[in-house]
Amino acid sequence: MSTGQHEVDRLAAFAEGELGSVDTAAVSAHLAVCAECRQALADVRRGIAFASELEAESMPAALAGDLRTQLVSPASAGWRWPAAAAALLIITIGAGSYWQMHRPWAEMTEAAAAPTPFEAEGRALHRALLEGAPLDYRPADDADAWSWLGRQRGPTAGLLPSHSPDERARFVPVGAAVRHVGPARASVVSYRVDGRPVTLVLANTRDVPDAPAAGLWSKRVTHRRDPAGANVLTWTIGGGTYVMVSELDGYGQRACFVCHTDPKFQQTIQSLSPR
Amino acid sequence: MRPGGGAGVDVPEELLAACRAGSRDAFGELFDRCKDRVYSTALHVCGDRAAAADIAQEVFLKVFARLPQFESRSAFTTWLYRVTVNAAIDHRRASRPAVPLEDVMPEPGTPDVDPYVRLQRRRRIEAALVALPDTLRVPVVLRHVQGLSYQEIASVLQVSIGTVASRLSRAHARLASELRDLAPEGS
Repeated sequence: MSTGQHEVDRLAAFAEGELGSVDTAAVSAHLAVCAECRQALADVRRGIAFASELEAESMPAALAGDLRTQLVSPASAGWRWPAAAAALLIITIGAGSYWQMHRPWAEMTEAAAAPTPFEAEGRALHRALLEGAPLDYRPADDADAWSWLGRQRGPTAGLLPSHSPDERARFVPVGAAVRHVGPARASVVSYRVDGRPVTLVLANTRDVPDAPAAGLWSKRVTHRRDPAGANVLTWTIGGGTYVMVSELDGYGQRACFVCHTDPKFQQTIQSLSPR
Repeated sequence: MRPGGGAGVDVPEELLAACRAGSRDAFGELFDRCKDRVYSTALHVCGDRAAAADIAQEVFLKVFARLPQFESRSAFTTWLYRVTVNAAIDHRRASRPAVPLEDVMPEPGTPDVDPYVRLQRRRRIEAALVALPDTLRVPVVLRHVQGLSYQEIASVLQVSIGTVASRLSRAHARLASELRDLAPEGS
């Protein structure tokens, strides 16, 4: 029997028990005599298994607090909606759409406050590695480094899998380690970019006293040039706090390889400068 | 976190009535009950956390303005999902770079599970989902992230159940093809 498009269209419902008894019996009868549809059903079941791994996410607490205040603030007590709310809606959506199209996804500021203990420790780690301090693991590549760190129960950052061969040639991993930085268990990745040393230290934000605030709408990066001339970038995003110390030119932003391997991100990164 | 089955936004009729009467406290409670559904749906449809934040704001402003039009709880929850999905698709079409995600996987669930590998796996599945066309991606999000039934998805998207079934069949086949080098979990 040839594959009936009608049956193929019903395979997800069949696999998920969403068909009635009559339709279920009809699809079952067709599957019994159609190898092509049995293969299609196997594919659909695999797809369902993957989709079932998707996870819902709660709204971040900072965003929820901000929106709740905006929407339910005492300032709005005297509103007589829907007229006033509709006016606000139009204004906000218009302004929001414009801003959405033009906002920067990352912003860099020059550090004004003294270094936090976490930043200071990151800089000290970088110096120690430059002077030959040992690392715990010599990775084959960046993915191998993060995989090893994960097995050591160190925090690991997600990489977007878009390294081009040219980028892989530029970013050469040297080693990885897990170190206690203050109360935090931190992952340390040492690598070279264009031949120059870079140290990236990552810890869970909840374990980092005085961690820099995450930007609500844009990634907020702070730059500082340390007394030894290295560029130090710090940021918090996705529940992690990062310190990246590099011997690169400019502000050291070209050293970041955690997620910025997509050309459209690189272009923005390379044009970043402290405000 | 996976919501329970069904349309799932637990919104009592009395709460909607209080909102319609202009109670700020009631609207605050409505926001608390719905915020995660709105945010998560927007996030998976548009694949961008910053955009999901914008979308959530837009959705709740719309809800705030138009709530008096909804007399019943079922109409409200269906409409809430519809507004969210439409706003997310509109934002996605604006096609600007997303803020790169740097999720941190703090601790492995079990000692023998590599959290990095798990994160990469999740990223692959999310990337395959985002690569689907809107008509296929949205039913997957409503079904597998929000736990809606085929009937509920049909109501949100204003299409027949048969269309929902067909789109989900094609979506799942595409996911299986795109992720053919990835073994299903537990296999």
